Amino acid sequence: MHAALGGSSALGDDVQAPDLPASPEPRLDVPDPAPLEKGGASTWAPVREAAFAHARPSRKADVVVRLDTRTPEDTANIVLVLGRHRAADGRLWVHVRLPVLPNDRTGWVPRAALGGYGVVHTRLVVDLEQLVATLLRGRRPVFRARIGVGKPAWPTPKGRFYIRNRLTSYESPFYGPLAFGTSARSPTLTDWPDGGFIGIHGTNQPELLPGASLTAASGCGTRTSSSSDGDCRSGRPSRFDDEPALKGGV
Amino acid sequence: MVALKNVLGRAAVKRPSFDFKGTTEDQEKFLKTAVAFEDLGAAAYKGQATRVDSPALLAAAISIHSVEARHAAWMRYLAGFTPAGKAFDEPKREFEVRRIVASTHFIAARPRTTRRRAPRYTG
Repeated sequence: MHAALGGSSALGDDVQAPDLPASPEPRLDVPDPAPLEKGGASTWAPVREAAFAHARPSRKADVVVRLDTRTPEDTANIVLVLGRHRAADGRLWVHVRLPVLPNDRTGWVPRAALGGYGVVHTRLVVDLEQLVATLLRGRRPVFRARIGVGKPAWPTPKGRFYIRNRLTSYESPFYGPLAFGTSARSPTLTDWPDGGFIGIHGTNQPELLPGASLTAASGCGTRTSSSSDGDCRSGRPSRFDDEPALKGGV
Repeated sequence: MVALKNVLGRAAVKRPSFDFKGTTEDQEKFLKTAVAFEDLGAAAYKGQATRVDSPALLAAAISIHSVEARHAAWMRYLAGFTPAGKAFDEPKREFEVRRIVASTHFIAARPRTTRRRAPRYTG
């Protein structure tokens, strides 16, 4: 058999190799490999071990913040992954977005401090001028809603953030059935544990929102423990940065 | 994977959450891990072959098994190992496969990012 397939020496040069049958047509179309980031995907990871986030990928670099494994709301603490770097000593560092003031702060944490990566393909764009929130899957809008934002005294921050957790079971229906906690921080509101984290939630009082005749869930600029008529009114529209405000999800 | 899930129906295990602990981000670690898992996959399919009664299922399982074996040989070659070092592969039984997988701790608890109890702070 080997000689026949080889087609020569063992049985002489007059022995011809048999024609092999053509390969069958594939039953599936297998696409070319593509990076996970393609199509607006975001990568996140839980903080598996408490660790310091550094200004640069080095233990000797300045500490930006200490990251705990839990959030003040007692959910798994997650960070948005922006990139990676392997240091000269072989240690792998991950560049992450941080839930600290000033907003948009990033830092580097050892890869060993983080758990497995997760990927989301949705992002929320909050337009503070038009007072509209748009949920995108990839680049395709899948949901849009009128929103209210923080009062001028409590401005909703601009920038890129990520959703850290989902909170349910509010006793007050004012906040709706579900709230999303974000990595955004308010520099002016500090009555939420660990400071003024920005949240997005619904409400049973949509008349407070601009364009209240529209039927939609509301987004709200600031989640605080202030009274129910406080923070979810429409704030002064602000020009948004060129880039989306909230990115990622859980 | 979709075909297997369709066959297994409700018997299929839930989608796990993984933590590969950086092995997918280091070429040397990735290759060694891939060799171990491709070898393990081939052994796992082989270990179950005699337990499949349905000829149709057996045909499907064998077709996957041979591809796993090709992957295993390919990864072994890339990692510098002999692609097919033995004339006969040893099968592995389910408990052996589970024990080996568990020892890696690659299957991790899914991070809980939803709080279902009423927040202490607001409303």
